[in-house]
Amino acid sequence: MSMRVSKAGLLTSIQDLGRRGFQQHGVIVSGAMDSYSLRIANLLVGNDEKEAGLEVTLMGPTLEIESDCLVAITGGDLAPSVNGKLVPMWKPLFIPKGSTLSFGPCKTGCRSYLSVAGGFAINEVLNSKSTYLRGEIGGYKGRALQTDDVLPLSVPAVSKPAFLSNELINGVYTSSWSVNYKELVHFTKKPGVRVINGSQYDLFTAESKSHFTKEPFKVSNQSDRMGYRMDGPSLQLQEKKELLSEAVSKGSVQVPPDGNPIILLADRQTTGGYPKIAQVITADLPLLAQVKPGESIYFSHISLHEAEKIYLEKEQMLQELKIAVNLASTK
Amino acid sequence: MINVRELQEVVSLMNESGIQKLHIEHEGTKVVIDKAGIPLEDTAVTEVKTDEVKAAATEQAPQDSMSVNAADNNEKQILSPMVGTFYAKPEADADPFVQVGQTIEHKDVVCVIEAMKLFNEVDAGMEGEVLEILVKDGDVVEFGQPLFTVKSR
Repeated sequence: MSMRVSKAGLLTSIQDLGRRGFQQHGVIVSGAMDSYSLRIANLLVGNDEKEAGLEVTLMGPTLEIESDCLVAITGGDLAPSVNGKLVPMWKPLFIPKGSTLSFGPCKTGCRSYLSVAGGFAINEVLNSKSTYLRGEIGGYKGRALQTDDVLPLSVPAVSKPAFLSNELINGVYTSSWSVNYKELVHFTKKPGVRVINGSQYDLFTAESKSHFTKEPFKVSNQSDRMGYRMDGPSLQLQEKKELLSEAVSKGSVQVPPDGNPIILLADRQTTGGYPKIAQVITADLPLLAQVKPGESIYFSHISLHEAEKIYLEKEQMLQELKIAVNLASTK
Repeated sequence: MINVRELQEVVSLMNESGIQKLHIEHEGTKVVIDKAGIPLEDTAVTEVKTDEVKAAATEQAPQDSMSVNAADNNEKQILSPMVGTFYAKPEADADPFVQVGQTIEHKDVVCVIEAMKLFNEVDAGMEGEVLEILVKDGDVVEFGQPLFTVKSR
């Protein structure tokens, strides 16, 4: 049936894995900042990995659960609670109708993901349910959630799956197992973010190249879903150069004339004219999404070959997890 | 007429109960069984046999913890219900699920065992005091491997 928003939270929006296939027409991809957490949340409730969920940022919403539903909460620990009692993350939760799901202080990470079995009944725009906030398209009315919004669920009524506990624990029925997410999503202080060389790496000074991987970079307050502006040593080109705009991707690290790098993220523009010193590897984008403004990271270089190897390892882990969850939920 | 099978049952019942002499009359048939003159079995041996039977008969449902009597009748062990990696704590920097000396109840989670990227909670399955934790964080454990020694109530 539905979930009603009684408190909006800082920035809660509907995101799936992105609006793909239309960048050639200038359409922004958007999608979950931490795609691994969203995919795991979907696996936990039996959804397709690409299904849209709620991306909850720093301060979460309060949702009135208007019908029995099976959900999962992953990502950063934003203290999810049902009827005031903390509930576990990284496992399926069956929440009875009439309950209130809320979030508390941010304990780890920055973004949390809520999936519901069957997904939200949101119309797709250009093959995706993701919200592009700036363009006001997709998701729930093209915007972040507000008080009194009613989120319709695709599956009207869910009965409690047999593999869940028979007793309510803190207001929910849950499983005796949970996901070991540690090799997929990290919540460490000053994490190392792995990069490969950007298209214009060679245009930078030797000093800049050295600083780039030796010094910490702090995520500034001018950071959002479009990109993270980083504070750190100034990165300079060997000589002033005008570049033609070219494609950028999620994780491209571009350097505007002021020397402070910007890591482009989910709501990035499709092309850019600033020189790119590095490209964050796909497997480390989820980790980056969990770093908050004010926190610092280190960049470290790896080869394209290693980056691909790591990417495939993570995909294999996710497939293994999918099989394990399927086995564990058929009791 | 008492048939052979019934007679066998009577004899085994006699052995289990330790009755020395039995006199049955049933529908016109009379049976007298007297163990006098047969050397008694050593009591200790009989008791060990009973324990073995009990241990072998312990059924394991998936995910339920298993237990076995250790040498002392009061001491029991919680066995691993699966193959995987043992973790004593829910998070690296959290408190362990149970400590030595702690009293545990039937449904308390004593540890998690990880396999295929899922942490599986293991219930105590018994009540008592934790005497010893037999494995450490990160150890790979086998199905049936003893994890905890518990002084059972």
